[in-house]
Amino acid sequence: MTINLTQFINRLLQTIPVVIGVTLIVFSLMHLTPGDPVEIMMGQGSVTEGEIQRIREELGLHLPLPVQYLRFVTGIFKGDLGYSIYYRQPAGEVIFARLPATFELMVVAMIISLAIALPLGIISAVRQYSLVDKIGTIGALLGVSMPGFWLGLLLIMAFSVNWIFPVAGRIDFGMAPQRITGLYLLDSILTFNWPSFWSALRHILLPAITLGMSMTALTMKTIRSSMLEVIREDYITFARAKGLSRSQVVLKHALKNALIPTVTVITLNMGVLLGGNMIVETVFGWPGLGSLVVNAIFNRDYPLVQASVLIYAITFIICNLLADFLYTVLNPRVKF
Amino acid sequence: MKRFFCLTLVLVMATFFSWPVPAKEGTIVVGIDADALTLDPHNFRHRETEAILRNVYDGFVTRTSDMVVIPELAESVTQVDDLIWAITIREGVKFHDGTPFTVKDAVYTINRIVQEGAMGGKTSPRKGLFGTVTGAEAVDERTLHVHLSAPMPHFLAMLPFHMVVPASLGEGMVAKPVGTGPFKFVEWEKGSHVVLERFDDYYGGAPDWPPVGPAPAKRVIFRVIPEPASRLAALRAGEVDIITMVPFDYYPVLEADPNVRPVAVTGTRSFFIDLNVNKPPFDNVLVRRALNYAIDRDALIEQILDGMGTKIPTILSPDALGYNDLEPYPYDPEKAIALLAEAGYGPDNPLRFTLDVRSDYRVEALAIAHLLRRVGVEVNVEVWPDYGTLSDMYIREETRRQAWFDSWGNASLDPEGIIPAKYYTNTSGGIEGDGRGNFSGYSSPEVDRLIRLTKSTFDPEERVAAFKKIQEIIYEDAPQVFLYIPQELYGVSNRLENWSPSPDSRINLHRAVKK
Repeated sequence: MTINLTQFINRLLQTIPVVIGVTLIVFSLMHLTPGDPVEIMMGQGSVTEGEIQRIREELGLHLPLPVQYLRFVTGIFKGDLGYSIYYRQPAGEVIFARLPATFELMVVAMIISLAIALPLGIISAVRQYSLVDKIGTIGALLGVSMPGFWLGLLLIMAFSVNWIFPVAGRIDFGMAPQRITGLYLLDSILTFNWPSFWSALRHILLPAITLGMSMTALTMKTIRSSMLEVIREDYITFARAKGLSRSQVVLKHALKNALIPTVTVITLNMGVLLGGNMIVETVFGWPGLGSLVVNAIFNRDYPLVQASVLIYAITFIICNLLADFLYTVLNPRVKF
Repeated sequence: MKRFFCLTLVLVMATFFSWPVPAKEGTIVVGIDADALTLDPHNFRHRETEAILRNVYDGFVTRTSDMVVIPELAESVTQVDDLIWAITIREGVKFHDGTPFTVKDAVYTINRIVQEGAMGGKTSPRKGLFGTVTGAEAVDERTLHVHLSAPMPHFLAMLPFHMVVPASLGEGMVAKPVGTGPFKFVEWEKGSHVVLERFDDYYGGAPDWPPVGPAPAKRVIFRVIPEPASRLAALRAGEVDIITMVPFDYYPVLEADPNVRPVAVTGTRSFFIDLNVNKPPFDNVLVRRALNYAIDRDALIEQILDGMGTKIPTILSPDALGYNDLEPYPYDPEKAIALLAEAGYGPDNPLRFTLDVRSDYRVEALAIAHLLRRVGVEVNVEVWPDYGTLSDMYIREETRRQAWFDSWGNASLDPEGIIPAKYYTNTSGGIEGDGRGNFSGYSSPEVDRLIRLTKSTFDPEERVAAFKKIQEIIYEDAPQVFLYIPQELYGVSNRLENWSPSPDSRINLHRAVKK
């Protein structure tokens, strides 16, 4: 495995125009959408003459659009993501307070979906057309087709109203572990705080299953089809002929090669998980970035939307880079 | 090995499901649809933030669930002259940090709200809720004078909006709230919940609203659950005790569950269709009146609001001050057809128009279109993403379209909060001050004169008479199709007693008891 440093830096540099493009598009789209953020913030109650104008000036909304855009972009380089109109505090602060919750949900969703998809995908391929394969295929079709908000509500109705799982929220009141990373599961393990861990786990399972459902389905199908392809190769027949056991052949020889396309699919899907969380977070009252962005769009909170989309875009780009990188690690024939 | 794994799994699952849920006695949990925006009581205009913070901060005066203004931290509020109001503060009140509440805090509070840049260089967005108030000064140990730049007859109606903070805040913003209210602030997990705890040294609250004394509940938690179906599930699972913003179609579910109950309260939001009075076809008053006769308000309320609404003769709520008890336009399709014929519309030349609506109210607009079809009017309903999009178009003459189904909230229930906004001639073409909600382009010199009179007169009766007269004029001119005021629906656990919702959507938990 060789990673050419120049090429790596090249790849990184290539992402800069992408980020600039994204900021420009988001900025223009938000400002093209009718509706005045200050008016929405103030509501219909009593508003005196000049009050809206004053707030607009306070927030720099009276400046020409190109100037506003320039302020936004130069701010980014100074680590300043703008000032949320609705929350009346720095957008960065608002976002970073919500980020750990979203990240934790994403990771757990991924773990759950891999834990289901990997074994199911392998078994479906090895035992093609068996009962497990058929159930798996139907399940995958359902998983891809069911919208998150509906699945979430079904799960709530089935498991929450009867006390098994909490309906919404991240942890029971007063159970939050001492803050180290902001990820409740990890923090409670690090501080050996088991009651917190259980509470956090009970809260995260339903939203994580909902969020990971489409990824589970997609991963399972990818593994199944690449496994099917690989196990028909000559070297697999050869390995069997050498007298290796079936499980050894499948897990050591076949899986490694079948994983290559799967890893790409998974890494690219992490970005999709981030997008899907807008719906899941709203349904389960999960205090993350997704529900924040939905609200920010309705309130025309330009700076907050811009900053969040920037975070989303950067995450997507990192996922893409990661996918490329992992691909070269798993398949030394490909150079980065 | 396999057996070992199975055993471990069973043990883990057993622990998992049997882990005790924290005790909830004495804790009231409220499921709200949106998080607080800030903990600073002067730095927002937002329903949920107000509902939460009003349990931490008391005001000079407050409103009961029947919307009567009564003294809270003020012992009395009196008018000295046209431009000065006097407030005498209550003695023996303490802030949550133990310091006594003094006249200095009262003066500081008012100045913080109305003076430019008084909040860490920023000006409070609640300044407008204080009308013409310019500042306050202490007169003696217990009395302060509030100064106005122009007479403000609705001073008392606006005073309950303002929460009292300690002067020790100085120039800063509130990070950890310290108020004089029945509950102390404990923690705010953004996007998730706000926790409050009983303040044992509470002075007792408004003496005119018994029971007086510290709150019976030990702890209050506001939990953010944006999705209505999830809020309902949380209430039924016993995780929360009150849920807000409940869609009407959940009424039967709440009624059927033996552990919870639906509770409704008349809202303060009026619904209507703004008609563009400056362009055909609605420049003709006959057409506007015809539409008012063509709407079966009872059927709309019955079908869309499940019977939970009140029809209104003009735009004002029957609970509002100065309400004119006119007869709401009756449902009279024949009269509507006759009026339309007089205006030149009939089966051969039907009236056609486009009704704009934001997506939240799509169902209502479609029902109205259906009702109008019965009198031969062809309505094309166009759905827009949100309020901001439409208000931008309708406030300006050049971009104003034909008709817009929407609503206007007036939490103070003083006509000042709705009539000048909707009917004063909008010369600025903007969304500030009087005429900021004049989306029909209505302009009447007589109404303008009466509105100016209500702002300058000091005779409360003359003010009320002027508002009543305005209602008569707009009833005749019909710049809108006047519709209804929906009730607001809450879901409440049967373990909760002594709590009722307020029309102003506050959630006062001072007196609530959880069994």
